[in-house]
Amino acid sequence: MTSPRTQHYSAVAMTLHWAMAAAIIALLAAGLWMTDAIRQPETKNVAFRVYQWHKSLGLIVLVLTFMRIGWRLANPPPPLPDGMTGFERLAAHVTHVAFYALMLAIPLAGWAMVSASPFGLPTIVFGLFEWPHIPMLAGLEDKKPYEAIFKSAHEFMAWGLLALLVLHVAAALKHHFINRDTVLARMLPGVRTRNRKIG
Amino acid sequence: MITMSIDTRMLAVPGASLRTGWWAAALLAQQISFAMCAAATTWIVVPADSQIAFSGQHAGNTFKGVFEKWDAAISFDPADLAGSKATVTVALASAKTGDQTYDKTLPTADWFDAAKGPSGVFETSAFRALGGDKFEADGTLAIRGMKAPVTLAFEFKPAGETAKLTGQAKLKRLDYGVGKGSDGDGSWVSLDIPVEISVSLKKG
Repeated sequence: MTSPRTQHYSAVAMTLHWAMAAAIIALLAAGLWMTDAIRQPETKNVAFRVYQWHKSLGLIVLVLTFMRIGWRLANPPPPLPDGMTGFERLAAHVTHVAFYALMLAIPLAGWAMVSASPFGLPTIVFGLFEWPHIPMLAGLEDKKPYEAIFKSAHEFMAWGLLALLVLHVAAALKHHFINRDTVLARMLPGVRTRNRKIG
Repeated sequence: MITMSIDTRMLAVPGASLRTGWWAAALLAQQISFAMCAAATTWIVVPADSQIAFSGQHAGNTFKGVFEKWDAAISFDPADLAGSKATVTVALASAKTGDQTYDKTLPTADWFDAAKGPSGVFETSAFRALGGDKFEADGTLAIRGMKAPVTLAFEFKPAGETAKLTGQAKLKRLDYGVGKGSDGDGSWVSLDIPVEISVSLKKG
């Protein structure tokens, strides 16, 4: 029988999860706002700054995703509750794989789109250092069509991530309040899993 | 004061037609004597106390910058405007605004294209006195291989062996194709780019 303590995710996994959760929510909110605000004369100036900040934070998420995948491979998460059906297990698994795929693909598409932008604006991560363009794209003669492709992909996948996020939160709340199992608690630092069903 | 400053472009014409013999020699002599008569006081720029600044708007935000590297050959005499002449050569890649996003974009192919044409050159063609210390210089500015006429309004205040020159010109960036591909209608970066110069001079 596993002890209640090992039912928790590791401190590193929790830190990565919540830091990235905050970053991703901020990125989605910024992305939704700035793409419209950049076209309005009165918000253009602020929106331009938000774009630069969005690029910086997105790249941080890209780097964190690689770290997180590495950590997860080395430190498998605690097992799912025994009571879950085969379909629920599959749904949880697919959702998590999709999360990792999008957390890689969305920033990569954003990076590609910035690299293929005819503007050629550099990415200065939080004003500190320059993140290079993807040379293959930055060197293209006619960048516009490539920029358009990556832009659509970035936006489409961001909507997918938002849908996934809603599903993820709803599932966590269902586990906590309806199933009354440890699935949410084990990702919350300092919350005991002892009084809840372990399996 | 007479100085022996012969512009290489003056030599280019007679030099290329030397085969025509006496005519070319005569023309060359004429060019040299013209240069000798025409030269006004030669001034040397004091870089530490001189600057060429530019400004504009990007996405509603005002930016200001300077060129860190430039040089000027100036012969100017308020009493001999016909013999006055100035050539200013600016290292385009040395534009600094204090914002890395701008500073790294400006030298790129669609903006200054500094890799292909590292210098912007302003060359005067005529001076006008506007009364007092005020003057105007007509000239041509070349950037990215494109030329456009520019009028520089300036004040010239001599003080013994030194002088202070302050002036301003209004440039239109599309005259030189600057940012044409990225923003050809000024929806991001203002089309008008005012340039202000403040130059300390000493007699050469």
